[in-house]
Amino acid sequence: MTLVSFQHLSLQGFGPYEDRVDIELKEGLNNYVAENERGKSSLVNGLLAILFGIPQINNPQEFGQARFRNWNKPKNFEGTITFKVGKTVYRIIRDFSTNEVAMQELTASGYQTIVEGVHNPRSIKPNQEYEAKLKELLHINSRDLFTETFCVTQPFPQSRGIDDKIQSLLTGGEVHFASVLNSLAEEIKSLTRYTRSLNIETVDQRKDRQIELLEKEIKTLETKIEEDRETVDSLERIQKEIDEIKDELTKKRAQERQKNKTLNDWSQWRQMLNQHRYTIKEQQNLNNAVEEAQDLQQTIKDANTKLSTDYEEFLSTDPLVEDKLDELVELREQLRAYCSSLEELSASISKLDRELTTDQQKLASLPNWSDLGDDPASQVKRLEKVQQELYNEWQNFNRKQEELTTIENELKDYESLAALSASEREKIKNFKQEQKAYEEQVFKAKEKLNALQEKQLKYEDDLKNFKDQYKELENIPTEAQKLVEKRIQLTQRETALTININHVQKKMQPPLLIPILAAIILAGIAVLIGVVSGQGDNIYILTIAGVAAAIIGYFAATQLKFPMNAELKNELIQLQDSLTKTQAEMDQLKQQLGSFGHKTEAELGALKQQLISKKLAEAALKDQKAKLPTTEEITAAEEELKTAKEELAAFNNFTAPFKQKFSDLEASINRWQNLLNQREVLTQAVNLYARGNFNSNPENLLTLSPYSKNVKSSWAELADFFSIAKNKPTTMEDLIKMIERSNEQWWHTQLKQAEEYSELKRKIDQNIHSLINWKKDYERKKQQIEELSTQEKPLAKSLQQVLALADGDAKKARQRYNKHSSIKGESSQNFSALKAILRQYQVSNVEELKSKKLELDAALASQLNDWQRFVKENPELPQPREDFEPTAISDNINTLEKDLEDLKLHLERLMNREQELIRQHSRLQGHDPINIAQTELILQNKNAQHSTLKNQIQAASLAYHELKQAIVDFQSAYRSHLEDLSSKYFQSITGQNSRTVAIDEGFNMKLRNKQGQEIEIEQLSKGAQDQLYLALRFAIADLLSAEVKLPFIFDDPFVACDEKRLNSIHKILENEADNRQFLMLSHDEDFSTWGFPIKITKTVENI
Amino acid sequence: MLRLLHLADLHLGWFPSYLPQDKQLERQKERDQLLEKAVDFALDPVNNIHLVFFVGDLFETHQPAPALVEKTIKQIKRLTEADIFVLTVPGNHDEITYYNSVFRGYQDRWPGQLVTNPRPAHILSTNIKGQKVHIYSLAYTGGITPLRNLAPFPRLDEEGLHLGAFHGQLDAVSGDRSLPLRSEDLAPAGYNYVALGHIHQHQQTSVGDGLAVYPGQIEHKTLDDPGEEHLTVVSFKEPIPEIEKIKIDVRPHLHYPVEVSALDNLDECIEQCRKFANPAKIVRFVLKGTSAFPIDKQKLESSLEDDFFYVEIKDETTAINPRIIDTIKEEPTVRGQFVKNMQERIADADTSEKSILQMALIKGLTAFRGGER
Repeated sequence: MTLVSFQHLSLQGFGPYEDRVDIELKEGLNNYVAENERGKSSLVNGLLAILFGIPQINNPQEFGQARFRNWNKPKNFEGTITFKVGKTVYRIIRDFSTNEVAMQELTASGYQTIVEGVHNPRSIKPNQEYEAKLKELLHINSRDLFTETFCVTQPFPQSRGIDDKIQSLLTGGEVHFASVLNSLAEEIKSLTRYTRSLNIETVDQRKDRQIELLEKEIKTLETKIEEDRETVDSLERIQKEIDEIKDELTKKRAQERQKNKTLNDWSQWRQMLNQHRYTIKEQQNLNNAVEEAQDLQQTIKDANTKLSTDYEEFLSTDPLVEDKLDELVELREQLRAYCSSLEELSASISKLDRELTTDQQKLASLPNWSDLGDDPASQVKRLEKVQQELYNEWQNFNRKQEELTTIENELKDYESLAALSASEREKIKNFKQEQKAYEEQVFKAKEKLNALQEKQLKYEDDLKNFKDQYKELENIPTEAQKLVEKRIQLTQRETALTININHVQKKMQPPLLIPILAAIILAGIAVLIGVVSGQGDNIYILTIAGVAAAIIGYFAATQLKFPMNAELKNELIQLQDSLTKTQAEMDQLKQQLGSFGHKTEAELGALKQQLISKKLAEAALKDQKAKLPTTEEITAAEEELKTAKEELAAFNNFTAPFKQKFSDLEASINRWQNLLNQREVLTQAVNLYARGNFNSNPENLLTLSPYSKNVKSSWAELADFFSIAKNKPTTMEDLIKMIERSNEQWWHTQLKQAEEYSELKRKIDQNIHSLINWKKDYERKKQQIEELSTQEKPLAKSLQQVLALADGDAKKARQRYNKHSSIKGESSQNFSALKAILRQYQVSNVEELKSKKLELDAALASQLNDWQRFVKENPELPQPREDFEPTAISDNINTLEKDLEDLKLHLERLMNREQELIRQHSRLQGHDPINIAQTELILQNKNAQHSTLKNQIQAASLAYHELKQAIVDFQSAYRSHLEDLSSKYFQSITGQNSRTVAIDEGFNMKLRNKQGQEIEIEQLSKGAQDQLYLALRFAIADLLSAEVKLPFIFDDPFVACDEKRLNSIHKILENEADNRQFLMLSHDEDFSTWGFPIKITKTVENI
Repeated sequence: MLRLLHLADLHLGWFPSYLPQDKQLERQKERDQLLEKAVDFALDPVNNIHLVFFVGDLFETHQPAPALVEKTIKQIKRLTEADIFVLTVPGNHDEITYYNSVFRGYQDRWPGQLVTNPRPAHILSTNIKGQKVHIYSLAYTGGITPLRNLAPFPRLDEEGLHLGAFHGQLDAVSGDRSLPLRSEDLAPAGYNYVALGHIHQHQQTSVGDGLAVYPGQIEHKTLDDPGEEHLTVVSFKEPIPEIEKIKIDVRPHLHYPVEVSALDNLDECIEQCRKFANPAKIVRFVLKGTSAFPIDKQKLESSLEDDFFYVEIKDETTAINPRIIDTIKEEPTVRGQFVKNMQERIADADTSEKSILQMALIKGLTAFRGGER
């Protein structure tokens, strides 16, 4: 990076400097100590004014000409700054009154102007050339930014104040970026309540803000305009509509009256038609009734005649003749039926008896399946299944027996493993893991021992290097560093005092003219004396005497003190005293330092650095030594390695024989264990079967009797079956053989035989039962026939007269009685019908009924006459006609009624509408509408305001979000760089590389130690906080000025610092002074030793 | 040759509420005297006026104060009594639609010819100074006058001058309550002259073979709704009527731009404005440039109120010097990043977005300065 340093500053007419002042500045640390109000800050402002210009502002509160022009208004108001950029020297000369500026570069032939012209910082048209050049040289052309970054005027912050200050600097403004965001958010919140949709806040505001209030006003105005527009525009329209409705009402009411009359006429016509039709129907009914009555009267007379002539036997018979006839018919029918049934039953008994004898003979020829119970076929089916289950279990038992034998044979190969203990077998099983663990144990023990030995060797090397490096400092005193620092300070003070003494002495020396005049006068006197004393001819003597007198005169005059003021004398004496004391103190130090006491200032500086380095190296060695391993530790490590090796060898010896026999040790162990498990499982299964089925050992099963009480009952049941079907088995072996020989076909045959046996047995039982029942029935029927014959004979005797006219046949006699009853019943019904007709017409006989018919004919003629007269009066109606289609009349009347109904509804609607319009009209006339045109203009203004507010909200919201984005962008662009820069400075300032500066996303500062742990600022000491703050400020300065290192100006920022803190800051600045220029301005004398004192020379212009 | 004094948009009775209370009535009264000035002009034999048309918005509202109505009737009567033909067409401000409209209430007493028909119609034909004149017009009546398809406009097939008089918006849609007129509808009628009202700026345009003219508002209303300060007189020459604009004396309403970039404080700004001092003027100072001091509008206005009849300040200054914005852009600071991002967005934005983005930039920078300029 290029170093920029201010070399010289001159100001005239600026601030308190009425006359020209020249300020000399050196590279590194400069100090200027003066009382307050003596122009310290003016120096800084003058410097800024030259670089960046001074606005022509008349407000003395602001940075401008009114504030900085000297009160006495001297004719010149100007300044010059000379500064060095790298190795090139530049000069800027500015006339503050006109802002005329010239930038010059120092070349071999003197200063050459590179840019000139007017540079007014407030001008709309800038001097682009000047600003570009300034930017090129200083990498900054903003006075504000320069002031904020490089002029430290506020007291050093502490704790979180550091964050705030740094964040403000990074923001670039006078406020923190969070405040900027907040300010924008507040502006938005004052304009609108809907901050959530704008993503400003998570919730909306509770109350309406400017834009919402305005929107409500606009809405109210719009509503009012719309309502009143409707009001105004509808008045004329409503009046017109009212008139139209009135016209229509008149027309429709006339239509209604006409329709009503037509409907009434039609209704009356229909009534007359209906009445006429009714009377005609009455006439027809009466004619029919007369005819019917006459017919009935004749039929009754004919029936009475027939009964008395054709059925005389029933005229005097008792009333029970009908019942007796029915009883006799029934008795005779029963007797006939019983006789027929008796014959049929006798034939059936004989047939069944023969069939029974044949079946019993056939059953005796079959095996006795009844031993299996009532349903032998089901039993055969069940036993077939039982046999299958038993035989399957038997076979399974045999297979397991065979497997058991195979396992026992294989187990003989693993007898060596069986002989081992459980722990030994475990080792064999985990052979690979065990072996690896023993090997790792050996490896770790070796590593540990090596590490301890290396530590020891490294320490010995470092110690040897240290001794070699600092051999020449072996005999230096222990407090040498302090002595050297003191010696350097004294040397610097001696130099400063010598310069000041020379300066004062120069002021005290007489002008050169006086010794020359003294020499000339004395030489003249000597020559004159020579001439007067007669030596005038001897030119040599005169010359020698003249020269000697001149020399004496010159030196004598120079020894004379020029008349001087007391102040200079005192100052000289004080300075010389200080010098003497300083030199005495220095001599003492030289003695204490011995051979190092006579070194130059530069050599002492180097020695100081060497001593610091030695001290640090010594501390490191001490630390290293403290961490060296002890002899016990090394011996223990060696023992550990030996034990590990032995354990590995023992393991290998033990496993060797097994490795030889089995290729895979782990697999062999697993196989052996599996075989043992299988054997156990099979043995348990075989024993369980033998015990469960035969209560015996597995070896003796075939010799057992299936009927033994120990054998499972299913086996005995199966043996019984084979006894019926074949032969009786004596042992289990016989039974198993029988089972093996009985295939599916055999079982099928046995089943068929059992079914046949069951069917025949059932048939025989049923026939025996039927034969017994039939014989009992035969006897019972024979007895009933005898009883019926006894009842029939007396009954037939009592009906002898009636049966005589029917040839003794009871059935025929009953038919004649039925005919007689029918004729009698019909005659009675006809009489009732005749009585009903006469009652209907309210007459007592048929003659009176005929007279009534004649009266009705006369009434019908009169009715027709009235109808014809009505039609004549209403010619639009149709002529009387009794066959007029009734639906045609109804349709006509319905249509008329419908039309009338519609008309009434229409009239009602029209009247309602008329009423409504009249009300509306009255209401509108009673309403005082706004002037719409005027209100529209107001609305137009409100809408314009709304648009402005909307734009403001949009703009503020945009600014808010863009600022948030800018913060993110800035973070991603610079955070890491700033961390690196500030860490570099911090490490340089503290001399420790273990701590780095960490900056989080919110630009909050922390420190991070070597382990990566973060340390909060509050946890740091005040001194460390100052170190961090300065490191950050330097880093930000580098960040802002990019390629150049600009000077820092400290304008009394340390007023609140105690001595310890000041010393710390002093050291930092001194160390950094090689890389950057610092100007320290203060009223405090203590700062006069901070670097070089700034020299200010005042030149009073002659009037 | 007949001469017509074509008046429109007098807005008599308009109340200047924006003025200080002590000046409102004075200004209202002064403004309402315009009618008397116009009548005096018409009656002056030198001006040789034969017809006077009031083409809408004679009054500011449909219900002006009775005293004002009486005064107006009195002035118009002066014209009719002097045998000058007067035509009054209701406008949108003094619309006849309102049931309590001045033209309904005073219809029977209204001097001259008052137009009340809601659709375009032939109003009358008359003989003025031996020349036949046919007049056509309509009074916009809400709810009855069709807003579309006003055509056909009537035209008698007779010799003479055919004059149309309509208060509405010609060939434009304004969105406000006004009668929309279309040249293509008017042209077939072949009127020699169409006297228009509604637009406050003087405008002339050809309609068919004739001429359509908006005389404009003569007196000022506000600084944003200025008057033309002249009367429009039409001389019916052949083949085209000739328009004369006669200057009339009204209170001046003026706008002055003031560049404040070079000024240091408000006092200097006041002094700058005071250079235009005149107690008769109504003025607006428009401040431009970049201000180095806070613009205190109220203080400025109160400091200048005695120098003018009325003074108003409009602040169009920018808060930040554009040069400074360019400088900030280069800074490696959050502020610099913000300006850089915003300028990139502005460069990519279309015209409608640009202004909002620029406003956002200024707002952001103002916030960076702690909310002050």
